[in-house]
Amino acid sequence: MIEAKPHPSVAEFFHQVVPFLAGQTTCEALTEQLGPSCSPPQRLLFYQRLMAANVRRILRAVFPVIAEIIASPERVGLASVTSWERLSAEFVAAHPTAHWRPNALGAAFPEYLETRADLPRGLADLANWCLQLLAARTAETGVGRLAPGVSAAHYRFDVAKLLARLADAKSDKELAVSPSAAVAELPPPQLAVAIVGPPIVLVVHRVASGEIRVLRPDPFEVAALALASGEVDRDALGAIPADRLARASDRLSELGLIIPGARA
Amino acid sequence: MALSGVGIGLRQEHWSVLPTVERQVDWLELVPENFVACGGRARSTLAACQARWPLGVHGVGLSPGGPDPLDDDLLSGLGRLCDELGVDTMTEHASWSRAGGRHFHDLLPLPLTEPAALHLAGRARAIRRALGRPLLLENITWYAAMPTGAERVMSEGEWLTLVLSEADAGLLLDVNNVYVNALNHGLDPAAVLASLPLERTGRIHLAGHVEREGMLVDNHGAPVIAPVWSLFRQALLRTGPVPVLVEWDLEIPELGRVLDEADKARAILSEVCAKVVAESTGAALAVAS
Repeated sequence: MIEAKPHPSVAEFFHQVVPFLAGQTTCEALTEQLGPSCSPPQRLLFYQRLMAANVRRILRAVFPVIAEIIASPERVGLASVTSWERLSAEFVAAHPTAHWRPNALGAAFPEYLETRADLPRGLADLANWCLQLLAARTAETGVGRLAPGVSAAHYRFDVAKLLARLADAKSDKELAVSPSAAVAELPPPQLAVAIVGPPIVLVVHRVASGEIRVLRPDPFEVAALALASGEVDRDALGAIPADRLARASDRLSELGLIIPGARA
Repeated sequence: MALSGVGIGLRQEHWSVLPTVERQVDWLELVPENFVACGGRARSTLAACQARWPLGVHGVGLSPGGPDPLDDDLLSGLGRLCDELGVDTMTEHASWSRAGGRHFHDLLPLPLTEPAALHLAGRARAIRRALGRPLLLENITWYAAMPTGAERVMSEGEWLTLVLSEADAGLLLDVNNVYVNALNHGLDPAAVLASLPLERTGRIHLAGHVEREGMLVDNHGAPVIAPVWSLFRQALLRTGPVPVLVEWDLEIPELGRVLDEADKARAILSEVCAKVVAESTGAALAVAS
């Protein structure tokens, strides 16, 4: 699309205000170049803080576990290295994005974490996993697919161990993503099922096809899954009507999460 | 599909309950950037809602006032989505969010000058042409007046009037933004409202705000306050019946609480618009007799 160039005064405004908003120049420098504002300097500086807060909020939404680990590294046995505020600011300074989709801001985050020698190496893989979950939730086909050539082996970070470690933390319920239950390998088709609660999320990764599904089961489906995996007896689920349990079991079978007749 | 009455925003927190809700919802508004080229639960929820209600879109990613070229991929994605959803009007903001290859993920103010108004208007015309639909631009909150160099500073009302007339666009009137801006800059909310080109209003937004750092911040995370309801009444007397939306985007409560706000807006919309109709009918009868 061909567009006319902005008026010189408008072009100069953007030329000066962009580095200011990014925190690269001061309020004094801005008003020196563009002339005074009718508003006090702290009002202009509010925009700098607002932009930084936006970046932190967007990254936290995509990488909640990373944000929690950076904020409370002792929970997973790590030493404190930086703050979430600082890490977010340093990342976005290195990887600004022009993409209109907010979540695109985090696309280079795993790669960036990899370059940070001061951070635990596993964080980059965990961040990659977070991106895959996002892709699975929003993929156009409804089912996420790993990038070509990427397999489960790509994730050197052992997600299962991390979840188990976090589950041992005394205050795991305070974590943004609070894994509190089990990670289990089910028989073929190879499925890694993580029951994370609350809320309960099933992450299904078909190793053979590379597909990832993220499901939020209802309580009947959770009960059916627990029954199928042998974690509980039918008697323990006595209050649940048989027809509801059967319907839930059928849905899980259709999704390949329960293999009829098989028990883990 | 034409919108009327009072709608609410389609927010992820309500995806599981909204499609089957029994209380009155007249229409839904969605942020289209969250659904362009997206599948999964987002699209299945959208399909369920589309089957029940008329939908409106409220864009946040086009950066209508920015200096960078308009994003052709986003424009074509928005066009396709509007076609699929039967949306007849596009709405965006009288703001910018992307410059110098960087997206700031916020709605930033332009200087209130004539060159900036004409710059925004030219790009708004381009957006309207590209989407083949009427465009409404929202009056945004501005916490600081941007430096204007040697250019003459206009009032917000004067500036928006110029933008919308040059762009041949409508006004998405955010009543809370009028209130927040007026108080933050020591102005009278009613006077600011009266200065806006209300005759161009195609939709109204209502929301809550918080107080932070000694000023009001439009965070869409609280109930609408009494003075904003009062300003809403004043606005309706000028605009007549237009679609109204209750926005609640942060610290989102259960759906019922949002619908309580929508009910309140609907009652005011009915009451004020009935009054407007009665007065205009009375005036017409007086002229006839």
